[in-house]
Amino acid sequence: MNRNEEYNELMQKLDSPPLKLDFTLERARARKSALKKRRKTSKAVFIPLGTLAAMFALFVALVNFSEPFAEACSEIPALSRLAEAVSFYSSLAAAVQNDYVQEIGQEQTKNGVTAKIEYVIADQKQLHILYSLKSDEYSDMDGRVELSNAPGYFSILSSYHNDIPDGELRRVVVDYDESSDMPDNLDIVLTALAMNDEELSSISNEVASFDFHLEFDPTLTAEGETVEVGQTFELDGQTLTLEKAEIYPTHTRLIFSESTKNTAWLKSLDYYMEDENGNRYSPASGVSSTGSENGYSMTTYYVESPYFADSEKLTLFITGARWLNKGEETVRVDLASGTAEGLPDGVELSQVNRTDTGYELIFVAEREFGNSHVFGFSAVRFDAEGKNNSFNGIGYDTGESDRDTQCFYIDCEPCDELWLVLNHSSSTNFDTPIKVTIR
Amino acid sequence: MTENEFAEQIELLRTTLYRTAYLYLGSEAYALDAVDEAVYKALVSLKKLRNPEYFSTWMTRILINECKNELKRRRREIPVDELPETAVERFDCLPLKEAVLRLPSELKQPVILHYFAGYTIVETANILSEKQGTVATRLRRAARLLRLELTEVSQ
Repeated sequence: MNRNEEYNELMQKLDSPPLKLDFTLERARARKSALKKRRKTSKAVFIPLGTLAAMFALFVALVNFSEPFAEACSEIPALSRLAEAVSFYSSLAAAVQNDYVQEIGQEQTKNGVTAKIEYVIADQKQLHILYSLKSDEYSDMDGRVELSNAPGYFSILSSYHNDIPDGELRRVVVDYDESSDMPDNLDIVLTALAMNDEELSSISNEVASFDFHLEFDPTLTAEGETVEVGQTFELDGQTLTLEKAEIYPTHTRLIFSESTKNTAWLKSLDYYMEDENGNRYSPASGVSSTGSENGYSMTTYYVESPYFADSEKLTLFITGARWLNKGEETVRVDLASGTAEGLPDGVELSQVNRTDTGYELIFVAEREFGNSHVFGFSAVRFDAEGKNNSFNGIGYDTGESDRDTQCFYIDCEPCDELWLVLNHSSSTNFDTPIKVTIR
Repeated sequence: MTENEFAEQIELLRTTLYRTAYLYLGSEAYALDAVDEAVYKALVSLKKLRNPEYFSTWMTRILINECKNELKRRRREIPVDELPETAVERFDCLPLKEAVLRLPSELKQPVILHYFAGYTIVETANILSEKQGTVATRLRRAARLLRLELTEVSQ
């Protein structure tokens, strides 16, 4: 066969693409609908790109991973609802498939709102609460979960779900840090929020508050498994050690340490994990990483869990990293002149605008479309060594295909200068992933 | 562009996108993933498309970026300047699909878009943000490496 005959044969083959291609748009629409349910909003448009990227990869893995799981649950209405609620989180989907779920079934009604704590999926480090809200009086409802007098150090992650239909399951995650474990029971306060239709604004009103006491089944609150790794490796000229991996039913934590001789703080990683069967575990949605005591480094990374997969071998693949140069952690903004010192290459301060409550700072950066890592700031300080404060809002715009615009809103009295804490100074994508053997 | 219009355009473009991704990545599974990713990203970014008449250019650029991201994760490409002197002989010995996969991206991109996805040289140049002359030169070089004797896709 000559080359042109090869060409014709290849073209014929490409004219008959696989059937799965026919449903590309349907899958995209389903993902968009799911994304809307989980998106956090701030004053402007907020997209935590690292979380999205993880969720995209997770979604792709789960479409392949959870089909038989979804089919198995489809004949049981109650489990199908739960299966659907966790289908985008492979660790939770595996937990449900292995009957690692506690049915709570506590329900209360107040002010025309019925709140029900339906299920929890828990281990010693994370608690996933699946609850529902129903009301004939209010639409566009959402819930806020707080813990009452709870011991330990934890954070609560809850996405806004204004467009989840009444009665469908919503998820909130309680994540415990390295010093604390999940207790045997918890008192939670669930507040139902409803959109103010008259104002058509993003402000939600509290319409009802519920107190629940939850007791957990100790046989379904696993301690997890710790794998001592101790692998030291070089990354972008910096030295890291993967100290250990803690494998829980709901997630896995990869705990790193940095060499004191490093010239930059580790800010974030792109990564995934694989076992010997080719199963890929993506970065966990929700909590993706946590920081070290110095306040700059992010040294613990969360990934979906192989707890139920009986994997003997696990390998970490690092595909990208972001670093914050030591000694260059902050950018000083002169508000009067509209200038900034210490910005990364390719980033410029475009505008400084006074607002009713403080300032709006607009930055522009060059960017390749689709790149999920852009510059940004994590906090603002009102003096060089002061404490970190949050922004009142962050806006993000990809209107031009090759440039990013980010807006930072700061509430403060009129002042001459501010210091912004950089997310990172540099970003690297690795053509060949860095492999670290976990076990 | 409305979502319905987007759906119609994707219906028309779907196979072309798949062909492009398949030849870029060499695998049906990777190609389907890349098309899935690109269509999804285009759907959520639809409001950013200012000129709907350039939809296919825009969509193809998104797809190519997805393919590049996947390649970065998987392997390193050989820059054009590093092609050995015996490059012609080596590419000639490979099956066509494999030979296309191994081309440096500067040559692979116009080859896939023009010879396999069916874009004209003008359209290919727009997608790649290159001059038409540059695209034509690279196509000739790639065709020589691949030992392909094809007529140009009509303007």
